[in-house]
Amino acid sequence: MPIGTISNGDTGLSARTKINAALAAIDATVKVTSSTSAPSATDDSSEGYAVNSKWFNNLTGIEYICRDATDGAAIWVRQDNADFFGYVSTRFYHGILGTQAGGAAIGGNAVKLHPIVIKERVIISELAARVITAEATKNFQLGIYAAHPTTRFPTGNPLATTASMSCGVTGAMSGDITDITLDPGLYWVAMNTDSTTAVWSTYGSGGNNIPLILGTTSASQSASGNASSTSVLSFNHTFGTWPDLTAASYSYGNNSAYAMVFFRVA
Amino acid sequence: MEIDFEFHTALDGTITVTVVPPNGNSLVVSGGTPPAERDALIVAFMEEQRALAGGEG
Repeated sequence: MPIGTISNGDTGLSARTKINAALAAIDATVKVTSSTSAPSATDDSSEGYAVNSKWFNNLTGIEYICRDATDGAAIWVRQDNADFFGYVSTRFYHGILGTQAGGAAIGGNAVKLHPIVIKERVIISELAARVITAEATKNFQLGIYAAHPTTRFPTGNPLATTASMSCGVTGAMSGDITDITLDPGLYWVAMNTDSTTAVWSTYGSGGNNIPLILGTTSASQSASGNASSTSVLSFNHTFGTWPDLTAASYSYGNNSAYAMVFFRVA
Repeated sequence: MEIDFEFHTALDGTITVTVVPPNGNSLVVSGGTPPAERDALIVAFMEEQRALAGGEG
Protein backbone atom coordinates (compact mmCIF):
# COMPACT_ATOMS: atom_id res chain seq x y z
CA MET A 1 0.00 0.00 0.00
CA PRO A 2 1.75 3.18 -1.14
CA ILE A 3 1.79 6.18 1.17
CA GLY A 4 1.08 8.45 -1.74
CA THR A 5 1.93 9.14 -5.30
CA ILE A 6 3.60 12.29 -6.52
CA SER A 7 1.72 13.09 -9.68
CA ASN A 8 2.75 15.39 -12.48
CA GLY A 9 0.58 18.04 -10.90
CA ASP A 10 2.33 17.94 -7.52
CA THR A 11 4.73 20.79 -7.03
CA GLY A 12 6.23 22.65 -4.11
CA LEU A 13 4.43 22.13 -0.83
CA SER A 14 2.29 19.17 -1.87
CA ALA A 15 5.29 17.23 -3.17
CA ARG A 16 7.33 17.99 -0.05
CA THR A 17 4.47 16.90 2.19
CA LYS A 18 4.21 13.54 0.49
CA ILE A 19 7.99 12.99 0.48
CA ASN A 20 8.26 13.85 4.18
CA ALA A 21 5.43 11.47 5.00
CA ALA A 22 7.24 8.72 3.14
CA LEU A 23 10.52 9.44 4.94
CA ALA A 24 8.76 9.43 8.31
CA ALA A 25 7.25 6.06 7.51
CA ILE A 26 10.66 4.67 6.57
CA ASP A 27 12.16 5.98 9.81
CA ALA A 28 9.43 4.24 11.77
CA THR A 29 10.04 0.92 10.09
CA VAL A 30 11.31 -1.74 12.48
CA LYS A 31 14.58 -3.19 11.28
CA VAL A 32 14.19 -6.91 10.82
CA THR A 33 17.22 -9.14 10.43
CA SER A 34 17.46 -12.78 9.47
CA SER A 35 20.81 -14.29 10.33
CA THR A 36 22.50 -17.58 11.12
CA SER A 37 23.62 -16.24 14.48
CA ALA A 38 22.13 -14.57 17.54
CA PRO A 39 22.37 -10.78 18.00
CA SER A 40 25.04 -9.30 20.23
CA ALA A 41 25.60 -6.09 22.18
CA THR A 42 27.19 -4.49 19.15
CA ASP A 43 24.10 -4.99 17.01
CA ASP A 44 23.08 -1.54 18.20
CA SER A 45 21.92 1.90 17.15
CA SER A 46 25.08 2.41 15.12
CA GLU A 47 23.93 -0.51 12.96
CA GLY A 48 20.46 0.91 12.51
CA TYR A 49 18.75 -1.03 15.27
CA ALA A 50 16.30 0.58 17.66
CA VAL A 51 14.00 -0.50 20.45
CA ASN A 52 11.52 -2.97 18.94
CA SER A 53 13.86 -4.13 16.15
CA LYS A 54 13.47 -7.83 15.39
CA TRP A 55 16.12 -10.48 14.80
CA PHE A 56 15.46 -14.01 13.63
CA ASN A 57 18.15 -16.68 13.91
CA ASN A 58 17.23 -18.82 10.94
CA LEU A 59 19.56 -21.60 12.09
CA THR A 60 17.96 -22.18 15.49
CA GLY A 61 14.52 -20.74 14.77
CA ILE A 62 14.77 -18.37 17.74
CA GLU A 63 13.41 -14.80 17.51
CA TYR A 64 14.78 -11.84 19.45
CA ILE A 65 13.50 -8.33 20.10
CA CYS A 66 15.69 -5.31 20.85
CA ARG A 67 14.87 -3.78 24.23
CA ASP A 68 17.79 -1.33 24.29
CA ALA A 69 19.83 -0.24 21.27
CA THR A 70 22.50 1.73 23.14
CA ASP A 71 25.69 1.90 21.09
CA GLY A 72 27.92 -0.97 22.21
CA ALA A 73 25.47 -2.21 24.86
CA ALA A 74 22.41 -3.35 22.99
CA ILE A 75 20.08 -5.74 24.81
CA TRP A 76 18.24 -8.41 22.86
CA VAL A 77 15.60 -10.62 24.49
CA ARG A 78 14.53 -14.02 23.24
CA GLN A 79 10.87 -13.77 22.39
CA ASP A 80 9.75 -17.35 22.49
CA ASN A 81 11.79 -18.52 25.49
CA ALA A 82 12.35 -15.68 27.89
CA ASP A 83 12.33 -18.19 30.76
CA PHE A 84 14.61 -20.67 29.06
CA PHE A 85 18.34 -20.40 28.61
CA GLY A 86 19.27 -23.00 26.06
CA TYR A 87 20.12 -26.68 25.95
CA VAL A 88 23.70 -27.79 26.54
CA SER A 89 25.12 -30.67 24.55
CA THR A 90 25.31 -34.07 26.34
CA ARG A 91 23.17 -32.96 29.32
CA PHE A 92 19.99 -34.70 30.43
CA TYR A 93 16.82 -32.61 30.65
CA HIS A 94 13.33 -33.00 32.00
CA GLY A 95 10.84 -31.82 29.42
CA ILE A 96 8.32 -30.45 31.90
CA LEU A 97 8.25 -29.09 35.41
CA GLY A 98 7.44 -31.63 38.09
CA THR A 99 8.47 -33.11 41.40
CA GLN A 100 9.97 -36.57 41.28
CA ALA A 101 8.11 -39.19 43.23
CA GLY A 102 7.96 -42.92 43.59
CA GLY A 103 5.78 -44.81 41.17
CA ALA A 104 3.58 -47.86 41.20
CA ALA A 105 3.71 -51.13 39.29
CA ILE A 106 2.60 -50.54 35.73
CA GLY A 107 1.24 -53.97 34.96
CA GLY A 108 2.77 -54.24 31.53
CA ASN A 109 1.65 -54.16 27.91
CA ALA A 110 0.38 -50.59 28.00
CA VAL A 111 1.98 -47.52 26.48
CA LYS A 112 2.17 -44.87 29.20
CA LEU A 113 2.60 -41.30 28.03
CA HIS A 114 3.26 -37.93 29.60
CA PRO A 115 3.86 -34.61 27.82
CA ILE A 116 7.07 -32.66 27.47
CA VAL A 117 7.69 -29.23 25.99
CA ILE A 118 10.73 -28.57 23.84
CA LYS A 119 11.84 -24.96 24.20
CA GLU A 120 14.13 -24.58 21.21
CA ARG A 121 15.26 -26.60 18.23
CA VAL A 122 17.37 -29.43 19.59
CA ILE A 123 18.82 -32.78 18.60
CA ILE A 124 18.23 -35.50 21.17
CA SER A 125 20.19 -38.74 21.28
CA GLU A 126 18.87 -40.68 24.30
CA LEU A 127 15.76 -41.26 26.37
CA ALA A 128 16.03 -42.20 30.03
CA ALA A 129 14.12 -43.29 33.14
CA ARG A 130 14.97 -44.68 36.56
CA VAL A 131 13.96 -48.13 37.73
CA ILE A 132 13.36 -48.05 41.48
CA THR A 133 11.89 -51.54 41.93
CA ALA A 134 13.34 -54.28 39.73
CA GLU A 135 11.81 -57.38 38.19
CA ALA A 136 14.32 -59.92 36.94
CA THR A 137 14.52 -60.82 33.24
CA LYS A 138 11.94 -58.21 32.22
CA ASN A 139 12.45 -55.26 29.91
CA PHE A 140 11.11 -51.86 29.00
CA GLN A 141 11.43 -49.47 26.09
CA LEU A 142 11.08 -45.71 25.82
CA GLY A 143 9.80 -43.65 22.91
CA ILE A 144 8.75 -40.17 21.86
CA TYR A 145 5.69 -39.13 19.85
CA ALA A 146 4.66 -35.94 18.11
CA ALA A 147 1.58 -34.08 19.34
CA HIS A 148 -1.37 -33.54 17.02
CA PRO A 149 -1.51 -29.83 16.19
CA THR A 150 -5.23 -29.56 16.97
CA THR A 151 -6.06 -32.19 19.58
CA ARG A 152 -2.58 -32.04 21.19
CA PHE A 153 -2.80 -35.78 21.84
CA PRO A 154 0.01 -38.13 20.77
CA THR A 155 -0.23 -38.97 17.10
CA GLY A 156 1.41 -41.12 14.43
CA ASN A 157 4.19 -43.61 14.85
CA PRO A 158 6.91 -42.83 17.38
CA LEU A 159 9.55 -40.36 16.26
CA ALA A 160 12.21 -42.47 17.96
CA THR A 161 12.45 -45.44 20.33
CA THR A 162 15.11 -47.16 22.39
CA ALA A 163 16.08 -50.79 22.33
CA SER A 164 14.80 -52.95 25.19
CA MET A 165 16.34 -52.02 28.54
CA SER A 166 16.56 -54.22 31.59
CA CYS A 167 14.11 -54.02 34.49
CA GLY A 168 16.25 -56.58 36.30
CA VAL A 169 18.21 -54.07 38.36
CA THR A 170 17.56 -50.63 39.79
CA GLY A 171 19.19 -47.44 38.63
CA ALA A 172 19.05 -44.68 36.05
CA MET A 173 18.64 -46.26 32.64
CA SER A 174 19.37 -44.37 29.42
CA GLY A 175 18.97 -45.76 25.94
CA ASP A 176 20.22 -44.58 22.58
CA ILE A 177 17.77 -43.49 19.93
CA THR A 178 18.46 -42.54 16.36
CA ASP A 179 19.23 -38.83 16.70
CA ILE A 180 16.21 -36.67 15.96
CA THR A 181 15.81 -32.93 15.58
CA LEU A 182 12.87 -31.52 17.53
CA ASP A 183 11.46 -28.07 16.88
CA PRO A 184 9.95 -26.12 19.79
CA GLY A 185 6.57 -27.37 20.90
CA LEU A 186 4.66 -30.19 22.55
CA TYR A 187 5.73 -33.84 22.43
CA TRP A 188 4.79 -36.99 24.33
CA VAL A 189 7.31 -39.36 25.87
CA ALA A 190 6.25 -42.94 26.34
CA MET A 191 7.24 -46.22 27.90
CA ASN A 192 6.08 -49.81 27.63
CA THR A 193 7.19 -52.93 29.46
CA ASP A 194 6.56 -56.62 29.88
CA SER A 195 7.08 -56.29 33.63
CA THR A 196 4.12 -56.56 35.96
CA THR A 197 5.86 -55.53 39.17
CA ALA A 198 8.73 -53.16 38.29
CA VAL A 199 8.39 -49.52 39.37
CA TRP A 200 9.90 -46.35 37.93
CA SER A 201 10.43 -42.82 39.16
CA THR A 202 7.49 -40.64 38.18
CA TYR A 203 6.00 -37.21 38.72
CA GLY A 204 3.59 -38.90 41.10
CA SER A 205 -0.11 -39.61 41.00
CA GLY A 206 -0.87 -35.94 41.54
CA GLY A 207 1.06 -34.77 38.50
CA ASN A 208 -0.76 -31.96 36.75
CA ASN A 209 0.87 -32.32 33.36
CA ILE A 210 -2.25 -33.43 31.53
CA PRO A 211 -4.49 -30.62 32.85
CA LEU A 212 -1.65 -28.22 32.15
CA ILE A 213 -1.39 -29.24 28.51
CA LEU A 214 -4.83 -30.49 27.53
CA GLY A 215 -7.09 -28.74 30.00
CA THR A 216 -10.02 -30.47 31.65
CA THR A 217 -13.76 -30.26 31.23
CA SER A 218 -14.45 -29.54 34.88
CA ALA A 219 -12.75 -27.93 37.82
CA SER A 220 -12.77 -31.16 39.78
CA GLN A 221 -10.85 -32.94 37.02
CA SER A 222 -8.02 -30.49 37.45
CA ALA A 223 -8.00 -30.73 41.23
CA SER A 224 -5.73 -33.41 42.61
CA GLY A 225 -7.27 -36.39 44.33
CA ASN A 226 -10.18 -36.69 41.95
CA ALA A 227 -10.52 -39.94 40.07
CA SER A 228 -10.69 -38.01 36.82
CA SER A 229 -7.59 -35.99 37.47
CA THR A 230 -4.90 -37.05 35.08
CA SER A 231 -1.20 -37.61 35.48
CA VAL A 232 -0.70 -39.97 32.55
CA LEU A 233 -2.32 -41.24 29.35
CA SER A 234 -2.47 -44.98 28.80
CA PHE A 235 -2.98 -47.04 25.64
CA ASN A 236 -3.06 -50.84 25.80
CA HIS A 237 -0.49 -52.38 23.49
CA THR A 238 1.61 -55.54 23.66
CA PHE A 239 5.23 -54.86 24.62
CA GLY A 240 7.85 -55.21 21.89
CA THR A 241 6.47 -52.99 19.16
CA TRP A 242 5.15 -49.43 19.14
CA PRO A 243 1.68 -48.46 17.93
CA ASP A 244 0.56 -45.79 15.48
CA LEU A 245 -1.39 -43.51 17.82
CA THR A 246 -3.24 -41.57 15.14
CA ALA A 247 -6.83 -41.20 16.40
CA ALA A 248 -6.10 -43.49 19.37
CA SER A 249 -8.31 -43.43 22.46
CA TYR A 250 -6.65 -43.23 25.84
CA SER A 251 -7.34 -44.04 29.44
CA TYR A 252 -6.72 -41.11 31.75
CA GLY A 253 -4.69 -42.27 34.73
CA ASN A 254 -4.67 -40.50 38.08
CA ASN A 255 -2.02 -42.88 39.38
CA SER A 256 1.75 -43.16 39.37
CA ALA A 257 1.91 -46.33 37.25
CA TYR A 258 4.13 -44.81 34.58
CA ALA A 259 7.70 -43.60 34.15
CA MET A 260 9.14 -40.11 34.28
CA VAL A 261 10.95 -40.04 30.94
CA PHE A 262 13.69 -37.53 30.29
CA PHE A 263 16.05 -36.98 27.40
CA ARG A 264 19.67 -36.26 26.53
CA VAL A 265 20.81 -33.59 24.14
CA ALA A 266 23.22 -34.80 21.44
CA MET B 1 28.96 -46.21 51.85
CA GLU B 2 26.31 -46.09 49.19
CA ILE B 3 27.25 -46.21 45.55
CA ASP B 4 25.06 -45.74 42.56
CA PHE B 5 25.15 -47.20 39.08
CA GLU B 6 24.09 -45.86 35.71
CA PHE B 7 23.00 -48.00 32.81
CA HIS B 8 23.21 -47.16 29.14
CA THR B 9 21.67 -49.30 26.44
CA ALA B 10 22.76 -48.96 22.81
CA LEU B 11 20.38 -49.51 19.93
CA ASP B 12 21.75 -53.04 19.50
CA GLY B 13 20.85 -53.79 23.11
CA THR B 14 24.40 -53.70 24.45
CA ILE B 15 24.35 -52.49 28.06
CA THR B 16 27.11 -50.54 29.75
CA VAL B 17 26.96 -50.37 33.54
CA THR B 18 29.05 -47.61 35.12
CA VAL B 19 29.79 -46.93 38.77
CA VAL B 20 28.67 -43.48 39.93
CA PRO B 21 30.66 -41.52 40.88
CA PRO B 22 33.02 -42.99 38.33
CA ASN B 23 35.81 -45.16 39.71
CA GLY B 24 36.94 -46.35 36.31
CA ASN B 25 34.99 -49.57 36.55
CA SER B 26 32.31 -50.54 34.12
CA LEU B 27 30.67 -53.63 32.71
CA VAL B 28 29.58 -54.20 29.13
CA VAL B 29 26.93 -56.81 28.40
CA SER B 30 26.38 -57.58 24.73
CA GLY B 31 22.97 -57.07 23.20
CA GLY B 32 22.31 -60.73 22.46
CA THR B 33 22.73 -61.87 26.06
CA PRO B 34 19.57 -63.63 27.32
CA PRO B 35 17.74 -61.60 30.02
CA ALA B 36 18.41 -64.01 32.90
CA GLU B 37 22.12 -64.20 32.09
CA ARG B 38 22.24 -60.44 31.51
CA ASP B 39 20.69 -59.68 34.88
CA ALA B 40 22.98 -62.15 36.67
CA LEU B 41 26.08 -60.53 35.15
CA ILE B 42 24.91 -57.05 36.12
CA VAL B 43 23.94 -58.02 39.66
CA ALA B 44 27.28 -59.78 40.19
CA PHE B 45 29.12 -56.70 38.91
CA MET B 46 27.15 -54.42 41.21
CA GLU B 47 27.82 -56.63 44.22
CA GLU B 48 31.51 -56.74 43.36
CA GLN B 49 31.71 -52.95 43.13
CA ARG B 50 29.92 -52.54 46.44
CA ALA B 51 32.34 -54.96 48.04
CA LEU B 52 35.26 -53.00 46.59
CA ALA B 53 33.80 -49.83 48.03
CA GLY B 54 33.61 -51.51 51.39
CA GLY B 55 29.95 -50.76 51.88
CA GLU B 56 26.59 -52.30 51.69
CA GLY B 57 25.38 -50.19 48.76
